[in-house]
Amino acid sequence: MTMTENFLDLDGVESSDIKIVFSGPVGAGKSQAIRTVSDIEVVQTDVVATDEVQDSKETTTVAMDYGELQLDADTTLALYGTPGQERFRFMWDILIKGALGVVLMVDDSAPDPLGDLETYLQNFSHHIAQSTAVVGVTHTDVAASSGMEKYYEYMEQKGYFFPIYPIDARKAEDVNLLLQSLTAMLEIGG
Amino acid sequence: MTKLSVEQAAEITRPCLLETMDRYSAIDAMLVVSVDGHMIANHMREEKPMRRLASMGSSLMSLGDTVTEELNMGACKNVVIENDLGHVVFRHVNKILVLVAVTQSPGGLGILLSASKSCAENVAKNFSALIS
Ligand SMILES: Nc1nc2c(ncn2[C@@H]2O[C@H](COP(=O)(O)OP(=O)(O)OP(=O)(O)O)[C@@H](O)[C@H]2O)c(=O)[nH]1
Ligand SMILES: [Mg+2]
Repeated sequence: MTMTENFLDLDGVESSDIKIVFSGPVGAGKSQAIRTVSDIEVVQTDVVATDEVQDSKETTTVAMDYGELQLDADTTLALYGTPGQERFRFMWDILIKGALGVVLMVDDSAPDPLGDLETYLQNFSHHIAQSTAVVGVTHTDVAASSGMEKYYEYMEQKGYFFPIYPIDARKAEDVNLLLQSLTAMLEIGG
Repeated sequence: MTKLSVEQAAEITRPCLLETMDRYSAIDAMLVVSVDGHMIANHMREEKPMRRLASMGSSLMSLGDTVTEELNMGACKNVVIENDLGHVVFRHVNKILVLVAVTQSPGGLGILLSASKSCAENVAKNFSALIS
């Protein structure tokens, strides 16, 4: 047996854990969303922001967020958040391994939310094709722009057929909506 | 509080890196990065791209802190990566900066640890003198 051969068969170990990855641009609310719904104290790696991010918030994620949400007696969602900034792209690749679903979040009040969506959809396209995704559009309450229409059009035009909702990452019911629609698709798909 | 630009921060940092690496030939590269992954200053014997390492430095330091906190073991002093071909050490300079130091010398870990500690202290001193 070579060293690269997989010598483990851990079937059944923690099999009820479903790994979900939250990704999207800086400030979209990935860390907040996990904090909002996690049953356990979240593991977080936020540090002081030293660049233009500090104009909108004090801290930014540099490695990962981790939380858990028990859906029912035998299903627990393991919630991972990525850093948002492109220089942490290497963490995206690490965290996405083994994920069954992707929650993409974009900040509607950012300068180019559709461009952000494009960037992240492209980046995870390979993975999303094999699993599934939902999109949460945050900060619609403070954005100057014109509602959800442009997102629906964009998704349709690009041929992305997964759900997209306006949400507030601070509201448990909103984050739960994303997670429920994701897990519903997993059940149908799997 | 006075806020410094990258250039100003680099100017304060670079002499400490140069001094340390002049003194210890076993050290092959040193960088100081911000806790959120921006390169502030670096010095290396052999030019190599270090931008990605700068961001990785902040991720790893932060994970080190997270593990330390999880285990209630005080403050994280160093994160050490031991490799076939050398060692890498990560340590806090202050609340905002992280030092990354690399040696390719077999047995260079001792020097790497002590030199990076004193270097980090010197950088921290220079900053606190300026900002306070
Ligand atoms: N007004 C408003 N604020 C929101 C909404 N959703 C999230 N927030 C806030 O926006 C901020 C988002 O910050 P984070 O959760 O740190 O963002 P992040 O996506 O983890 O960012 P990085 O880790 O830096 O990439 C938090 O302060 C949230 O409370 C929303 O719908 N409306
Ligand atoms: Mg975050």
